[in-house]
Amino acid sequence: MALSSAASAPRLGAAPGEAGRSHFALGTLALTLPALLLLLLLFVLPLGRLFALSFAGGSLEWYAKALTGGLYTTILLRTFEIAAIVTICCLVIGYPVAFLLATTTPAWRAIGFAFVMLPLWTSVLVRTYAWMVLLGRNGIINRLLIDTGLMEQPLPMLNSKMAVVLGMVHVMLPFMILPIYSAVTRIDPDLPKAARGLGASTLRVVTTIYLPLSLRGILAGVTLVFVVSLGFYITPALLGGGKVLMFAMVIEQQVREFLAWNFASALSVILLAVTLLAFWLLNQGVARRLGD
Amino acid sequence: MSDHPARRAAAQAGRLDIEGVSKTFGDVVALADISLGVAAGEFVTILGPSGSGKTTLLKVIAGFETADLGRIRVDGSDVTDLDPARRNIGMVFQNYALFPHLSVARNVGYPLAMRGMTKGEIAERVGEALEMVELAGMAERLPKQLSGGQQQRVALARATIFRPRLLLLDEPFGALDRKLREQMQLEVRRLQRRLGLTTLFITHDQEEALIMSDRIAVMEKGCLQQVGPPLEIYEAPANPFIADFIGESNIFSGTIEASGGDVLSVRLDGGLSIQVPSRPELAARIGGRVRVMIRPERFVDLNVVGAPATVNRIDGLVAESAYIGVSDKYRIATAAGLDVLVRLPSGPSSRRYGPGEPISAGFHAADARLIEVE
Repeated sequence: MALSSAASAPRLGAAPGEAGRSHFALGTLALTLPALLLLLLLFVLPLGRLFALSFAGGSLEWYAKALTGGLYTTILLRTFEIAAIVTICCLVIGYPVAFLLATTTPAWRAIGFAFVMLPLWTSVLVRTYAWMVLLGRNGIINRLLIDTGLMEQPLPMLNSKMAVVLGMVHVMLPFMILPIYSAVTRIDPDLPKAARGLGASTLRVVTTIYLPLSLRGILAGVTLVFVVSLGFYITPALLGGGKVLMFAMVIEQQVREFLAWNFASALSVILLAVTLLAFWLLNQGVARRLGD
Repeated sequence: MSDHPARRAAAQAGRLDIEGVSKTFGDVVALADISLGVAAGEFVTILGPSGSGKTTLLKVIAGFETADLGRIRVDGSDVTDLDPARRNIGMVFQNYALFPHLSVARNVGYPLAMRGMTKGEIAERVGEALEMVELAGMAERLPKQLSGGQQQRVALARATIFRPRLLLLDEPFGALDRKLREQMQLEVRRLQRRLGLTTLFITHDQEEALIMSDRIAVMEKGCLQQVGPPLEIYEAPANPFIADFIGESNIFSGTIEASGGDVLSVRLDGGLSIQVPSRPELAARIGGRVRVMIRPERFVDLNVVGAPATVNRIDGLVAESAYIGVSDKYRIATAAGLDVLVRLPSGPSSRRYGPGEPISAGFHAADARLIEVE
């Protein structure tokens, strides 16, 4: 798989048995056994149960309900839209950050990394509540705007798509920065110098050398952010205030409020299938780009 | 784009003047007041051990490092503060720095594309350039699909296609095996002559420097030690460092004993007296301390029938001997405690000496060289 060979910081679903594939021995099998058991217990079994529930009674009734009527497909499309916006924002913000981290002095790199990694070590919940404090009707930003006389009425920032996107970008940014950073650091520092010496302006060095040579990292980051964003739950639930529905929230609603296990399972399977499809398509893109 | 300054400046003579360039990294002095003039079309080698500052000097000329002091002039115009992209200087990096994602043709055409040339013009010039380095059939390959020598040629074509005023080569043959290296040395020199390119070549390989250069500039610890044609550097090294660094050498300390016209009599520490060529200013320096250099290959075996008469003679026992094909290498220990490295012709017609055997080696006064006078 093209992406897992990128060896960038986060491994995208690289199978734990990967090591065993090349050197298949009893020892390696024994070493991977705990991980395999864990995966079997925590992922494969529940997933199997999910499938079973969604096809309960051998009928496709639940799938028919999910895919007709327009409501759930609209939410699915909105989920894709938000994931795409989040991915684009992360790329636009993340690439320059990753680029600076990769090319700056070691001291600045350490400081920069602290800023990138710190949010990663903080709970998503804490970060989401922090955004609520900032964006709320009586939040810091609105109070500042009103107190300085710039606004008379508080801006309705919370409970909007913008708030959801903002919060999700904040959560996902490191996952974009890290693979791009690792790709940029692998570029031979003589290459941009050579390009400069051959007459390329700074902009041309970026577009002809850095961007194409960090494409692998960009695609890894894009895939990671997009696929993870599709399944987001906490951040849109809290920052969207119920107004911005994402697919994972609908599933939760079905289970918690209507105890509709079969229908929720069908929705889950649909989300999983669509996510895998997106992952596969992005991967195809990677393979094609790197193939030529 | 067609008025890109680098393009306008193309096809100029290419005289390079380095004037009092200094550069320090923290406490480390990389370049200490370097001044060097390179004539248009000249091939000058900067020779020095690793860490002597030669790569830093090249980077300062190319514009990738900024000098603390001093100026760089090309054809009289000051380029010290000029953007590297506008200097119009071609450089071949140690690892070639070929763009791995671009085909050979696009690598070679890169500087032309950056100068805003049309696709047709670029294709034509790239074709010619690849022809010149004998890679015409490789245009669509990626760099990683080429051998080391072919990559080297692509780098060379890329660095010369835009008719730079100056070509800089940073140890370009380091990664090649010996045979290929010798072939590339000749090819680079031929290309350089054909294009009439002023070239600054960096190497730590003294043999390569002697073969290729019009002039050699020997560098050590950030200083230029001596600048001159290969013959002068080899035969008349300015100081013991150069004598030792370039080729093999015996360096003996001694005292001036007597002076007679164009020969000087020097008594080496340990008692042996030898004759060396004198210089006028040394006639009055009787009793002064000097250092004398003799190249090992300048010795002759005095035991051979018909050996030439030499004024200087060293007798001793063979301490070590080695057969190295082109010659036999001996380490001779004399009774006076001198340790002398001698190379004698090898082969069936020559006598070989084993360790412990007595040996007599002679050398002409003219082959000895005073390298340090206190």
